[in-house]
Amino acid sequence: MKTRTMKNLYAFIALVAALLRLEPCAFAQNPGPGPLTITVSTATPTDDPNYYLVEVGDDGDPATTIQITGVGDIPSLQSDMLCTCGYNGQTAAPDTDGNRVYTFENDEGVGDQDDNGVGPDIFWDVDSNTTPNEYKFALQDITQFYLSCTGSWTNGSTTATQENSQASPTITILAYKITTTCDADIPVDKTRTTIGVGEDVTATILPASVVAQWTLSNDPDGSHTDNGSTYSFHGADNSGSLDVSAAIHGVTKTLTFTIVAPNGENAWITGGDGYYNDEAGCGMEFQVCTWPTDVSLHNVEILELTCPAVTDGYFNTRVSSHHPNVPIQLTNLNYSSDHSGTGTGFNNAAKFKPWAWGTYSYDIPLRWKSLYQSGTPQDPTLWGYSFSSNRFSGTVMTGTNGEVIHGKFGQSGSRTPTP
Amino acid sequence: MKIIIAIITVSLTIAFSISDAATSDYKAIASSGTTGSINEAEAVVFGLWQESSRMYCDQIMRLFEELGNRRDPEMFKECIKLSKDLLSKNYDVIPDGNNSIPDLWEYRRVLFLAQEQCVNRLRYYAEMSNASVTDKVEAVKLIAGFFRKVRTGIIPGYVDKPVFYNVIPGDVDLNSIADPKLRIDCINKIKQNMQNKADNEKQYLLPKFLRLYSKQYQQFCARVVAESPDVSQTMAGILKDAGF
Repeated sequence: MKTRTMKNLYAFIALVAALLRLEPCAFAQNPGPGPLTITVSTATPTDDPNYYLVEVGDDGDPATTIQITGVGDIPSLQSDMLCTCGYNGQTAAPDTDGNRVYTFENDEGVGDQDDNGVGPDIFWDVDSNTTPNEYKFALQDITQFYLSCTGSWTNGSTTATQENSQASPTITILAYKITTTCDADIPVDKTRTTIGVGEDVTATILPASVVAQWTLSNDPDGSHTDNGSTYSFHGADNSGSLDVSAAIHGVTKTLTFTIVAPNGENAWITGGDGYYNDEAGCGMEFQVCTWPTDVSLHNVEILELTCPAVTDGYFNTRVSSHHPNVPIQLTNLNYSSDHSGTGTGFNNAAKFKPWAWGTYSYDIPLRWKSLYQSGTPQDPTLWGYSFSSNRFSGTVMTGTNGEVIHGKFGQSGSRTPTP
Repeated sequence: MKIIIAIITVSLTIAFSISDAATSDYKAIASSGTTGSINEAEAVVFGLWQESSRMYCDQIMRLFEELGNRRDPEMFKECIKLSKDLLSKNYDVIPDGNNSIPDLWEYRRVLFLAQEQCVNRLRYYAEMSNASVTDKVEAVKLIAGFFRKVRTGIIPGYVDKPVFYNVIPGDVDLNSIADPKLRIDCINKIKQNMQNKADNEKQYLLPKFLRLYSKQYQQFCARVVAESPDVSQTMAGILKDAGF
């Protein structure tokens, strides 16, 4: 009985001993370094940890230097790679042969070179010459070379080399460029960021493969939100500023536009009305230029409002209130045309004889609105904006010879009927 | 089982009802006593066309955007339905029986701008709502039809016609012209002035639409094809038909 118990005890001890012997062997297995990683500085991180942004500048802008750094370790040297001293059996690691060599797979950039290969950093200058595109970077491998054992130190193998080839995730750096183009050909600078009310602009992000989310600052209901690589919008309905934002992978880039409203005008005479001999009357056509001219007001409409006539003398019973015809959309030169005068033919307010001194005038108010605002002439309350103008229209018949002087916009002409 | 069906029905009714403040107009339009369902709101909005093109455009676009912004594939189907009705209207026809001197394009422009906005939003909502490829292709067809119509309305080499704030025979009130013949003559001249303005503006807005939005549309089509390559032939045909 005693012998059996002892046998069992020995067996238990042997089992424990075996387990204890196994334990150091398990710990001796080198778990090795983890996968390689990569870090990026200077580029803008996004909501995707492997996606970064950098903006391509314009000519003359300083370059942005992107630094991509490989991070990782190499496995420890195995025992047969160590140098062993022939006298006492002591072991030691062989000397390293230069720095660790980092092998990248990179679309762009230059590594920091040393005597032995490529270091942990890639440097990439992004400037106006950089083609907007997505650029890929990954650290493929880190290798450490070792020198042979020297003197009385030897090892069982040839020169040791240790390598970590667990490649890092590929990171993408989007070099993008946003440009804006005014739709109007005049003014010639189509890259302006000062635009007229209602002026059309198209923003484009390059490369074209990028789908950005576009928003406008004055668009509370989001009705002008859009997505894609191009985005068309128009200036606000009145002066102020307008932010246009493009969001790419959660990063927003904002461009600010200044919106300019019509603020004045000048006009010149381009022609006169025709009259018969012995017919009094004076009328002319005008070309009107609306200011400012350093933006396009092509999407602006101007409307003259009705106003009463102020009459005296000859014209007392011969003219009525001013009745404008139609709102005018300004041309690509910010021009519009007008006609003003006593009228011609049967409707000539100066046709009746005998001629005598008299005057009539209209102090014509005007309104403007963006083409994108829906408002008909029949609903002038929608025409909310005005600017200082000189649309005073005045007519004088100087006396019995039928001479008529007529003017508008501060320009005037006169005509005396030929007998 | 009946209980489950009832729950689903109630849920769907709630989901399809227009309940927020933004759509209160439609509930009102859908007349008192209705449940304010989308179908009823659509029916009312469609009927507005006979009453006022502007009111129709305003209301249909509000409903369209309300539904589109929900970013729901089912709501996108409703957007397609609204778009079909809106885009079926002809901006070359004046629906409103206006006064003696209608400003022709003023009325057409309201519709044109609503349709322009509609096709752009339709493209956007198609992607934002995760609509099915079938619905996206439907949207592509609708938009293509609008592009085709715009393209055919453009007069090549158009030169702007003269337009004046005031035209001969003077800037006076037409009612002050006693002679009926002269009055008609004056009205015709003013009408011509307005017609010139309408023609100019139309020939300005139509090419502008193509300039500004062709690229976005083509990119949208490309994304639809990328999502489902088996529709590439269909899409190519649609694009060709639209003049691309």
